[in-house]
Amino acid sequence: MRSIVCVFLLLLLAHALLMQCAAAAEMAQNSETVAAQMLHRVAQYSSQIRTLRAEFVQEKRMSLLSRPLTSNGYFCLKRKGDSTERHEKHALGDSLLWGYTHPLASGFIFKNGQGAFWDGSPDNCRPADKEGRMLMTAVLRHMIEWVRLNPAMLQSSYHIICPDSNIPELHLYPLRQSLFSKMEVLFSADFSRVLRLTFVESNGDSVRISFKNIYLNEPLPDHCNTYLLQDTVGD
Amino acid sequence: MGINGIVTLYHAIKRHRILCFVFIVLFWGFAACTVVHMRQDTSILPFFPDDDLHARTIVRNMDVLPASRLLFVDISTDSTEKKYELTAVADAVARDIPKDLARPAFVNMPESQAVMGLLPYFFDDKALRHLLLASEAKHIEKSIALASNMLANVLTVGPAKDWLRADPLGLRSIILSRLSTGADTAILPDPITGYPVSADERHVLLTLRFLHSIHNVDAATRLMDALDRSLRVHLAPDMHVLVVGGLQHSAINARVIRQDVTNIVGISLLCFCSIYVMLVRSAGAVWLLLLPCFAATVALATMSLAYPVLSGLALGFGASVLGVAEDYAVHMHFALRCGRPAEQILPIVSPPLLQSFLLNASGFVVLMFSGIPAVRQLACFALLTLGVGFVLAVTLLPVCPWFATPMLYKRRAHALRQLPVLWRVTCCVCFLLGVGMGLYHLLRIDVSPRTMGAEVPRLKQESQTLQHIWGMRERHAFVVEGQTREEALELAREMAAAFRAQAPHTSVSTLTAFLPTPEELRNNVQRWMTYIDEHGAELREKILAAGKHYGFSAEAFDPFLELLRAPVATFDLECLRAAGFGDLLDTYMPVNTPDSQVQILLYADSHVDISYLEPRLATHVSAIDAGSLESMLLQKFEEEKHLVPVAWLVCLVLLFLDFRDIRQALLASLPPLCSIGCILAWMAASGHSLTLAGMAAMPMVLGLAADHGILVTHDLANGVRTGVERAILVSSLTTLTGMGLLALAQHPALRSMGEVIFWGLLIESPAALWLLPRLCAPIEETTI
Repeated sequence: MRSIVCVFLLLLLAHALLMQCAAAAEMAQNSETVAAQMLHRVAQYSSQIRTLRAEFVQEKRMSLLSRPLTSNGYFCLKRKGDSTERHEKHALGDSLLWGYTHPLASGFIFKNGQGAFWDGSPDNCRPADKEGRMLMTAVLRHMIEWVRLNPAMLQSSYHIICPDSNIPELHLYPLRQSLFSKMEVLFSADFSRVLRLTFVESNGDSVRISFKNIYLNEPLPDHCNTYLLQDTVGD
Repeated sequence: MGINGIVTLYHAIKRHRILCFVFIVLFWGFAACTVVHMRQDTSILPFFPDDDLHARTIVRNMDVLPASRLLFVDISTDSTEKKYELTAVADAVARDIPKDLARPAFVNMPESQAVMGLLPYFFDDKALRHLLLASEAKHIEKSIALASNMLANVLTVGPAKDWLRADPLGLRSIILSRLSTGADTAILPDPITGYPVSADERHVLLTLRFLHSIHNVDAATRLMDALDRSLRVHLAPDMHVLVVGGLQHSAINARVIRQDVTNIVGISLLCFCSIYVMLVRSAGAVWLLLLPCFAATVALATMSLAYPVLSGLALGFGASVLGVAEDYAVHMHFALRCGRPAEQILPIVSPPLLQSFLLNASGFVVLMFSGIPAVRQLACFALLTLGVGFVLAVTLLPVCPWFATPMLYKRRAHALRQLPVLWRVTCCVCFLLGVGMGLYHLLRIDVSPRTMGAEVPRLKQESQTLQHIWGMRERHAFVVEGQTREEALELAREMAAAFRAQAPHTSVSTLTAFLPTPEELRNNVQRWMTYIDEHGAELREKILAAGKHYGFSAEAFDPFLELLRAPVATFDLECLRAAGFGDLLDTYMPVNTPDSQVQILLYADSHVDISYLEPRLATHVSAIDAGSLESMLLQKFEEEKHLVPVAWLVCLVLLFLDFRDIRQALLASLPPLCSIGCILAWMAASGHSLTLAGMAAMPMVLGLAADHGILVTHDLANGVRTGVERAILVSSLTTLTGMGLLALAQHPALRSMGEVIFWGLLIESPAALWLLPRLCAPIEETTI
């Protein structure tokens, strides 16, 4: 009799484990399905973006620093006209002006695959060297990908999940070697804009950028236009 | 051995034929076993004279040039935003390539801490001044503030942070300014994909490093086949691929030849069978086919014992003389089927066959004196093949079962004995010589290696396209050799200075441009250690204090502080490899150097004439330049050209000695003269050049033509019919369909060979069978 009970209990335990595994697999699948749906909704909005500007608060947590480093700034993004023009020469045909206002005024401009850094004012640009340009391209790609969003491309490069279907947030894990081990993207409720980007490095260092005062497809301020319309950067 | 001797030998072999067959089979088996262990050299090295060490050094050095072993695979697409798909294809291809053939060559990025570890070795006076300035309190404060500011930037991630930790004072420029010179043109990989990605993101470059010698055609072919298979599987319909590399030449040649042989061999076999069915109609055909196989096996086995390594190209060309070897057997076959007993036929047929053999052999004996190993091997192979072919044709074949059956239908067993009419023959020879001389002036000779390669223009075009896409530029390479590394480096240093003096606007780069001299090295390390002793502790304190002030953790600058603490190890070039400069090191100091010599490479933007160097330096340097190699090859062939008329002269003298009659000697030389005239006329009309492959086919065409001339002349003079017409037809037609159809090949070398054989044999048979009898008259008339 005792052995029958033991067998019964074992079977019960196995069944429970199986059910739990199945539930976990289903949840993971659901999470990926929700993420895919979310991506497609975001793509609908992002394809319409021509200009984008916003202010941001950036918080960096690094093992090098004894305390988090917080910076404030703004950015202006200008996309080229139609897709043909945009992809004519450089895939990253979008122009970006990224500026810090606090604690120090500095930033960079990226345009037509070329980059330049500046201190004080964008007037004082110094072109990035080859390696600097490549690094800049790589980092910016992660940021700009959310503007020129291509769900298929992202899905081929990242394992994407939605941890909570009630929160419009995606977690991305690169499928191959990358500067970051994880990316988190929080969207607005209507999926029309990105509210927060978080990049996590493999050593645990992270940078979180929260955006506010986001303006879509509105004329860019003059100081942004001036720099983004120049043919070259850093001259 | 006289006429009676051949009959006696025939009887002896006939009596012991079983023993002879057993011996032949055993010997064949032994030869085949020896051939299996034959070592082949598929490179062009044997085409360079033994005594020209300079040329041989250049060819050998082509293998040590790191770039020569690289295979570039450019994967592209018309649409954008497919960089990751392209990368996935590159990954899959890299996985599929057999590990024993090649491995992906990734560009390593310098590793911050290891690079900074090189600082003591480059710590010259200027660097000391730099550090003294940078270590002032206000500058340290400024540097740490800048580091803090940079950290705030969103772009400062991963390696950028490592650099801040390892080099808070910005000292790396002292090292990188020295070591980056050679990397200006390097194609840097994308930090995310690991592969170089073009600016428009439509191209991804996979670079494979071949693990064998560039002269290893078999391995190159296997690599290219594996690459093709993999690309067929992984490449999406909208993707394209461009493969560029020196190995491709070898692989494409092998592939085109394989395709040509596959295409042509079927037609050839069909024609071959038709000819044998229509003209031979005998079970003895089996022996006719076996004889060249046996001759080739024995020749190869003997050569394997004589030469440690055999040139594959030379043997390939030598295979064409198998047609001449078969010729002896064919003549014997038809002569024996004419109705007379072998005892009567052998004394009639053997002398002209011997004469033909001696004639052909004499030409090849002259070539044995060539200074070029490949030519000597070709001559040796031809001599052995012809010798075995001839010996078997006059000894063993007559006793082979069914060889002389069935009897041929013959109209006349005898005919009137005929001798050439002097004026007719003289006119004909003069006419042909005149035509030949006239056409010779129109002839273009092109023995450049380019004529031996398939799809050369396409490959060149693709190479230029790749250079354009990736901004590569061609550099001229020079190899400096020394007994020791120190000597080679010192020589390279002197050589670079001499180059710069000769061509001031030419950029010259070599390892010595990056490395301090041994004396500088000692001084630099001493300088560093002195500085550390005097200021190290103070500098450490200042950095820690400034770091704390700007919010850095206590361990933030540990990598740099460790450098200040650690003792300096003895400098070794491997330190550069550890710091991520392995590619730089390999570019200038090849690892796969032959012999015990140490080689250092120099690169120049434009060609530098090394003949202007002082003799002491010139003996240690050689240019790796395809152009100069080609001109050197041409020069060597020019020097060897005198052997051709000598070979001809020897052949003519032999003809005359054999016939002891100027008319018969001239008559017998008419078919080869007709063949030469026809080949030259075709070349003049079509504008084709006489290439190396064409030249290799010449001995076969002329050998066959000379054979036929001699046999017909003997036939006419003897007045005894020995089936020579049908033998000539069979021999010419089988060769024409076997080798002449190569004129349809795609591979330029095979095509050139086939064209020469086709046009040479096209006229040779009619000349032998139709023209020669018409230049003769019955013996009574000629004696008037």
